[in-house]
Amino acid sequence: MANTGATREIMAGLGDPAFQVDGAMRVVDGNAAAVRLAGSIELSGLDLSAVAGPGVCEDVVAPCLAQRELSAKSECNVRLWDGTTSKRLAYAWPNESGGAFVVLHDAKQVESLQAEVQTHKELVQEYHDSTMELAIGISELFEVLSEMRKGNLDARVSETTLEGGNDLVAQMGQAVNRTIAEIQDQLELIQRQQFAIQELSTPILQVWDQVLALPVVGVVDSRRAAMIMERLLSEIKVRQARYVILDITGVEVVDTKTADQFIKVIRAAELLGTKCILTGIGPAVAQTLVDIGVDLSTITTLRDLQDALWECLHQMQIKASASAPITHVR
Amino acid sequence: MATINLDAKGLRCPQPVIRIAAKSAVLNAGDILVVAADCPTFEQDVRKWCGRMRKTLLAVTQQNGATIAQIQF
Repeated sequence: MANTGATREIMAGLGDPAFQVDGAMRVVDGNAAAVRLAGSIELSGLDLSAVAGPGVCEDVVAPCLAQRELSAKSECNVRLWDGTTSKRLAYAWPNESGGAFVVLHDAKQVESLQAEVQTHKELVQEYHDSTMELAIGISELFEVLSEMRKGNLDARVSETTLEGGNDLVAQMGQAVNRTIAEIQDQLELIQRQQFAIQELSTPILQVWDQVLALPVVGVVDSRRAAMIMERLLSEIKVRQARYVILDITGVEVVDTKTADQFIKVIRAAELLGTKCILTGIGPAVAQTLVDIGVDLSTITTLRDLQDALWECLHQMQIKASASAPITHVR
Repeated sequence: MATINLDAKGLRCPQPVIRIAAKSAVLNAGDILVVAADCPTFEQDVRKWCGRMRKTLLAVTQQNGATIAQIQF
């Protein structure tokens, strides 16, 4: 059948949708029924699926083009969009311009097919939107967990995502937010407990007027040494202490660093005019100090707290006697 | 500031953006992620993702049938 004015006349006379496609299976012409089926848009250059729905290209026109030398009417099946059902919906003839002339003899079925395709498109769009929401939710979870790993516990899954309509993401987001909040609470509790332990591990006792005792137990690292120093200097000032007894009976291991920390504490206290006495050096610690060559020659060391307290009292007595006015007894 | 490539070709929505999200765990602020994907909705998806995740979409180009998106973290 030639693609001429005669073909147009034939198409115009048909009540069923009829159209012509070129070799690339693009619609190049169509009658009023085809235009009605495709909508108000112009047919020229349209994808065939706009006129007859998906499947027509493969199942109507392609076989028709393959049989063009036969110049015979081909009654073709058109698969419905889900690929499960076949219906005979169209006749097709190869035309001389390398395309085909197609008549859809069951337009109602085609309309139904188009409606199904439209529904399918909407479902696909809905599915796409939904999976994107899921992907964005997962992205946020990744981001929040990543921030958490970096130590930022203020990051949370956003309200937009929690209320985005995806239940799975919302539940996961709420669980993550809840977990972070719980971790934050636990960390705060641990910090409070650490502070309390630190306070308890460095008690500063006033054992006599102007005499402070600081029993040290456990390991002294630079952080703890800094805290000991800060607290001790503060107490010396507040309580106007003249003597400080640093008792290390509870310190089992002393290395160069620990010894250095003690010396620093003692030197800092002495700068405030306070005399420091180091007590409680056990045999093992003494041996270590000698082995590592720590110089404690400028620091007063005594056996225990009792000796140190006696020494303080003795020193205070000497000072009191020295400062008392001289009286002559006759 | 590092530039990292991510090949998401052959993956369909929403897998490319999930791959971006997974990659973001190893990226720092200022780093640039260059993603190549051939999913038809990738450009639309990556624009939406960047908007929601507050990332800067520097450029979207076409190259050898793939969409290339440059994202700054």
